Amino acid sequence: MIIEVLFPEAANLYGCLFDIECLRQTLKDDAKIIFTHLKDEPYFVKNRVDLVYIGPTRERFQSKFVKALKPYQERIKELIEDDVIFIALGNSFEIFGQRIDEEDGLNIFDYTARRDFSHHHLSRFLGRFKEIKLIGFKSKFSSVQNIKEPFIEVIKGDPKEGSSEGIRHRNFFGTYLIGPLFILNPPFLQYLLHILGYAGPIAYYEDAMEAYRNRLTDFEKCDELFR
Amino acid sequence: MLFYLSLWIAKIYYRFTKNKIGDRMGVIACRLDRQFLKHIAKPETIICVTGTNGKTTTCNFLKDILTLKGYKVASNSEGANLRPGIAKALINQTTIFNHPKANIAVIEFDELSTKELFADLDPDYVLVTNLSSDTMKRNGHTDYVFDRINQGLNHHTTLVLNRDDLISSMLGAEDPTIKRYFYGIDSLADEVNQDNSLTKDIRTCPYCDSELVFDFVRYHHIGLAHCPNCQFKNMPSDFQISAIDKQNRQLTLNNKTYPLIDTNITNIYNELSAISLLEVMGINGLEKILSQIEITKSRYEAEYAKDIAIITQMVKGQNPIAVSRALAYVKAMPGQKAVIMILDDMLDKNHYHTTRGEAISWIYETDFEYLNDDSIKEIVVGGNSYADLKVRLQYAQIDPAKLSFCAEEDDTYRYLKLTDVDKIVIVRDIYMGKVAKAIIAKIKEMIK
Repeated sequence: MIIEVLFPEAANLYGCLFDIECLRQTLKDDAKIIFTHLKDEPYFVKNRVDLVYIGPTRERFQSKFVKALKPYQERIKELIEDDVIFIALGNSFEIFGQRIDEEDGLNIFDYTARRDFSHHHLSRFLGRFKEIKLIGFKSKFSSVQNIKEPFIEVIKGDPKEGSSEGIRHRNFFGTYLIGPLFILNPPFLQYLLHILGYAGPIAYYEDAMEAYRNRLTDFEKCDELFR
Repeated sequence: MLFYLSLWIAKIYYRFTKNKIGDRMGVIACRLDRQFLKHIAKPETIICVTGTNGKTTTCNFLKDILTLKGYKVASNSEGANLRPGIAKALINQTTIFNHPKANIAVIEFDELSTKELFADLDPDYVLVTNLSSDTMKRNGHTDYVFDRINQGLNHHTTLVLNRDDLISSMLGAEDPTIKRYFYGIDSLADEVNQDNSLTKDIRTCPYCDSELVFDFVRYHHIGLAHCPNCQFKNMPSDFQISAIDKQNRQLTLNNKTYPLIDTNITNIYNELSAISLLEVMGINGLEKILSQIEITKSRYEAEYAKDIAIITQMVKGQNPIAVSRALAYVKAMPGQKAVIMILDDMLDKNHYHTTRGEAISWIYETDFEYLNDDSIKEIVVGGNSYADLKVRLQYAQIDPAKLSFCAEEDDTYRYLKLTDVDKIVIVRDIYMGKVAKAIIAKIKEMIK
């Protein structure tokens, strides 16, 4: 199984790369993890990969990511349609849309993003994807509009953020949720690993589930600001 | 008239209130007159200090040194760094006729309020300790904070910057009217390259995006680096520590010897930044005075229960760099240690019912790996996020037999085994002071 992590030198905010450590300790020898840097050609261009991961970034890097990936726009579309898993977290999922403010995106999806540096959005989140309850946090200076295929149905969250969160198209999952997402959400990780054909144990699963259940209990009992 | 009314009411309030520590008088003044900070008389010289870590300690150093030098200082050095805290510091050093009583103001300020604050204070000197990942709740990321400070700088300000921090040392770089001075610490004889931190807030060249080559890493991104593709590298230092003698508590700065206030590297940076600023101001002869300066007790306290030292290390919880530095310091402490960690934010705990609240991400940016050391015999974690830390400490490959967890901070002492231990180190969040005191009392009772 091949996992490609895009631009770890820049797409690395909020401890997200522990998601990769989680995969490494879970999959052990079953996975080859490739870190692709901004000036490298992505591994997926000439090879089949199973999962592509890109974490949240500083906004000034978004246009650099678009520039680095633009030549491979068609290849990315092909991989997505071929059910390769893409995980794009935080503001990095915005680059797959049409535009971020006036800057071009990769134009793989129709959505657009707007930044507002006068407002740092921070919120907790509880939502549902299939039967899985997803929990996490958002920390961002931007928002997306015109998402046609939402990823998560909001159970509780900042009401200004709407009733759905992120985008899901086939196995492309884009969301503002940070966490690290996999460690905070073992059931979702299990779902992804199932798609990858892995049924073995997850690193520190019992303890991660205890933390997940504690947080779920806390979030579920909250009323204020949750819908 | 509104200003005078605000000033007088604030002064009367302060005269009669029993709570002299809070910044309520500043709140009253700023509410009554929205432009209070603009209107209040300022001392002749205004020094502003900011940065992610070390600003309170640095302000305390500056205030203490200047006071010992005979200056009358207005300062919010106890750490209330928003407008009310700053207003309070100035009100206390202003007459009822709005004449300044102090010669110098040493103002700690919140990074995000630079623009509004500088418009009112117009500082002569701005000292920036460093910029790095902070509590996400407030600061998002370093680019955002950098821009907020940079956009607020006044043209004629003199900046004193940390050369070893490639982020904050770029402040004011594009404004030729700003004077910039740099301080730094050489790679020292006994120092090891610590290029293993999880969080490094700058990894690529800001000009050409090439990956930076770090020639020496002190911690996180603090160190010496260059771009292999263009000219970008650390600025040359105006004030350079070339040697530190921890045993004799001395440091060598530009070939002169100064007393070392504290051996913790972050406090050495704080001391260096204070000396550099004072030298830039033309205030010399600091050697004797520095030997009288101490670290504020609330940040680091030590006491004894029989033969066991109980040390409290206060850190800005949820701040990955501050906590990592504290853990590195704990690791480096001599002796065999038990560690209690109470790092949850009390304010978050009390407001857990709202959607705001700190994400747990910071624990995945913090180097808990420092605790994976033979000298640390046991670790007790207390607080609401104990289960998250249980996962994180296992990722740090710490022997599970050394670990205990409980949901209530108050209970942590019960889990101590204290076998072959000569120190108990309590690493606590800023707002956990009372809880830490209660734990210490229980430990003392237990050891008696």
